[in-house]
Amino acid sequence: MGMTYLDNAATTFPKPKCVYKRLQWCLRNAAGNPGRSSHKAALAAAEEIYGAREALSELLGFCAPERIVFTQNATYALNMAIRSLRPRPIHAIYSDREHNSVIRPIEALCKEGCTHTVFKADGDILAAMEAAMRPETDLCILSLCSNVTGECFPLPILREFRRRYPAVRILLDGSQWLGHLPLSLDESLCDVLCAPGHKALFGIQGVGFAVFVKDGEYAPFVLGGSGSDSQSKDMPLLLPERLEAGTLATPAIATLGEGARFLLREGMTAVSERILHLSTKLYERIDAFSKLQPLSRHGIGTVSFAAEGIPSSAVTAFLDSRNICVRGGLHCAPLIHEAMHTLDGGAVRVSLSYLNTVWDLDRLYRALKEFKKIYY
Amino acid sequence: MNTAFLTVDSVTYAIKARKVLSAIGIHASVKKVNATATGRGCRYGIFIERRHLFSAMAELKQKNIAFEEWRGYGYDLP
Repeated sequence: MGMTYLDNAATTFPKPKCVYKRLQWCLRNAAGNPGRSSHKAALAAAEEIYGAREALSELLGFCAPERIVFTQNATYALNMAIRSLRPRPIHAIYSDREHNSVIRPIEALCKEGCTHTVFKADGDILAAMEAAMRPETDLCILSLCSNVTGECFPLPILREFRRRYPAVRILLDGSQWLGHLPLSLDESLCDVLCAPGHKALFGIQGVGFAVFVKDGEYAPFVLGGSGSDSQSKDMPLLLPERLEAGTLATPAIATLGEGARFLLREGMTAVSERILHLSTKLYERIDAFSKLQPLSRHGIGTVSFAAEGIPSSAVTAFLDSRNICVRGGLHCAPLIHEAMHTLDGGAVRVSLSYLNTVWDLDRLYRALKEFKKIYY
Repeated sequence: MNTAFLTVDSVTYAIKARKVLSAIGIHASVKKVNATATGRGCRYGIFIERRHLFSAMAELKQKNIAFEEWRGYGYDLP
């Protein structure tokens, strides 16, 4: 029996066929160093990268492809965004749904004088956000969709917060949202949006990005070669080159661009409907087992559950023995596990892709049935 | 010597400019130009036929693409 892959919140697998084709094409035809020379191979690479910026812009309904900065992954993009903001944050608030790629950089910033407050992203979220605010608060970081529960942050609340506190910069982590749900990016939503390429956007590993929604002054996070203004000792002033030091991962970026084009062709309405349908079917299968407790009832694309009396690592090891890939543990998001009282044993995360089928969920169901017979 | 070129800060803006001009029917080629030509370190040149120079400049200005105009320096359209 082949492998059933349900760990798409970590990395999607498989990718659409067009992504593999684009990768091959890029490795053979756009093999130069983008932005470093003007021979055909270098320009082909630069065109490939610009094409990816355009495809992402279209997917996000955003009209400035040059304000999309490519990075290695979402973690790098979030670190860069936090460190690039000018003036530097004085007091930050973030939700208890955040990933360590937010928690750790903010902790590091706190050693340099910044302070922060964590708010609960359930119940009356707007009231919780306002309670966390201080007069000096100038940064709010939010995950649009939890990588543990799959719960989505309500966009109307985000827009209302934005309206009430226009001076607070908003940094969004779109890691689990983009590619599953549509998003129209503009200033009413945030200042910066960060995401990886290798999850629901169907790129390969090695690429992420940050979209700087507004023009502004951003401090370089890493300095080095940019292929232009070489006599200057500073990075170029304009995005994206200001924040893109060193050679970009052209093949990975090409696959991200192709993934975005694939989603545009499929249509984000169709994609999100399919993800919602699969999520409902997944809940139905988990609900068949009274000893499995989902952490939330509202996950989209991601559903985590705790198995009564059994650590998540035992469940994932059993499922792996049946060729089913899911992820256990804390998912690099300790605060939500603290809130859900699953810090000790962790939770089993089942995460979907647009390319999964109900058949995959049936295989999971049969394996869980077997698990129940052995362990309960 | 019927070629004119405009310079922009980066390859990103060069490709953006090329696409913007292509959309209004002006063929443009992108080439890296070195410090000798620009005096500012490496930049990117958008090479166009001289007869399109003014309409190209107007279009780039309208699309908020910052550029500088340079004389031919013996370059021909690649």
